[in-house]
Amino acid sequence: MALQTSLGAEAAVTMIPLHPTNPVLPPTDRYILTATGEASTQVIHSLTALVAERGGNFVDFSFQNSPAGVSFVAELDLPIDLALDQLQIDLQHVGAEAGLHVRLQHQRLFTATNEIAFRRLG
Amino acid sequence: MIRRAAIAETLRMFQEENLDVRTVTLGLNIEACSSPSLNQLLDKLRASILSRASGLVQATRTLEQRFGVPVVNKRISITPIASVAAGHKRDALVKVAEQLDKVAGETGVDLIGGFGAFVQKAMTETASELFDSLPEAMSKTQRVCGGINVASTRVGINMDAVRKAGQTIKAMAEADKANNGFACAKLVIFANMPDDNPFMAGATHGQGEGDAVINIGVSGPGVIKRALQRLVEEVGADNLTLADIAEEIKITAFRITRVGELLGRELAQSLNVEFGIVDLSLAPTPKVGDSIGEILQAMGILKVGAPGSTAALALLNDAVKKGGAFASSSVGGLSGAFIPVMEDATLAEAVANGSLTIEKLEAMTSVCSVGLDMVPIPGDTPADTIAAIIADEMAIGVVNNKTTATRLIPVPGKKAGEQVNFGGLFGASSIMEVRTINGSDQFVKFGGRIPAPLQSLRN
Repeated sequence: MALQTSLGAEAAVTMIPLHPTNPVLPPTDRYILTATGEASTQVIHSLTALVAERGGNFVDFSFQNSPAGVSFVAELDLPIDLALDQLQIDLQHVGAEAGLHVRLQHQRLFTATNEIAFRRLG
Repeated sequence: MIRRAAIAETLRMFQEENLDVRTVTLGLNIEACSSPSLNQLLDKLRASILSRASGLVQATRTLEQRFGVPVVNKRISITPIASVAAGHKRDALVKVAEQLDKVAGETGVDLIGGFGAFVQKAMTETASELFDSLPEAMSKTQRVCGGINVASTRVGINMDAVRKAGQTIKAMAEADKANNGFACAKLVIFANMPDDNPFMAGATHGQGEGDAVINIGVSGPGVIKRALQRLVEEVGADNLTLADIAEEIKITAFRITRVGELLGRELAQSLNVEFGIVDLSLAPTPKVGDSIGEILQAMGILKVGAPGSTAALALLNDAVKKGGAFASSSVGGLSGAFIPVMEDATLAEAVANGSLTIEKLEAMTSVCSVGLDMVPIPGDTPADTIAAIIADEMAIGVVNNKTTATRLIPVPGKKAGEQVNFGGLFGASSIMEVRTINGSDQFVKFGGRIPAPLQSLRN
């Protein structure tokens, strides 16, 4: 109102209530993607692109290159209604072409086998 | 993020060390199927099992995919048939076995257990008929398994039932002569039979269990063997004590059991049934690298059966229980280390090279689960000698207040030292020598009941 008064009769101010919109994200499950094997180029790009294409979201990853080969470990969220079996097949196919063994497993497996308290498994 | 090293350790268990979940077993109470009419009984069995078990295989496969954990067997255990089919005669019980076999096939499970009875104190008429039905029932069916409890710490050993078991096993082997007596691999004779055992052939859904429950049997001998080998490589044998070895087994058993706990909880939830127990038993397979015998070798017992084998097995069994019990909210079933001769390539090899005899095997069963398991013996072993072997094993269980069992296979036409091969998870072995044949016939013939030991008076 103060603004309208200072601008005079020719100005109009319309108050629009602000409703902050939270983006509605689809429910997801957290998985661990691992790829191990011989060093090769472009394969990480292919794997991440494939996951992104299916609506997956990487939240963390690490990569190690050693004389023994490469090791890629990633944590990612996948939509719960995703066709998991098909993604696993496709990831394994991409990995196999590059000589990598690729596995996609639910995070709870790793929590269960490494943390003492089962209640923290979520 | 979970530690990278932790992820690598978990992966290694599956990729390199043969870790799997040996069985998910859906226990079903089928008491409501009882009927004096055979046709009604058969119809009710079919409806009752199909209505609750038809989703088991698919639900398990979904979890295998999600967690990347192989589940080797999907199974069903049911209320002991001798109580459900009370009043029915031998021929009707064979029909019941055939119906169970058919229904199990329709659900897609590998095996169905519970074609058995509790006769530790006395035998009902139906239990006696069930014994008589076993040769035909077990040789005619593929998936049906049975367990019969002939002894308990509480009441002693029913020697009439033990003798009948010896005669029945002999008859089963003859009835299934074409398959080297394989039918006998589907029958377990127990002392102190647990109500919630998920492992076959002795799985039964016992008294006091609910309508439906998921029980899990883990595996993992390969994981423990490799853990011990790594420990020795990294620290050096000269710098280790047996306490260090026990600690390593405990930690590894914790991780193995957690896989079972996770699968069990998830599966029970998806099937909307109760989660029962995790059976901690280390179950070997004939595959190299998945053997209890190899664990004993990693512990410094070069030939299984050599002096020290029983002590090493006792250490292993105890450490597995301690690690496993901490990992699971509910431990049950048999929960120990199995030493099934035919199903463990290293044990079978020890039989072939003469280092493992049936007497030493019996001694080893006093400190582990479960007993003289998958033991092939000469086909001409007399029924009363088989009964006497069973009686010895039952006595170990009764006096030590633990579960013991026998799965003896008299292989028709074969003698000690000859080979028998059942293939797959049932494995192969040389036939074990049974000494002093007929040396205890009169003891067995006395019959009656060996009284309960003093330790049964605990109230």
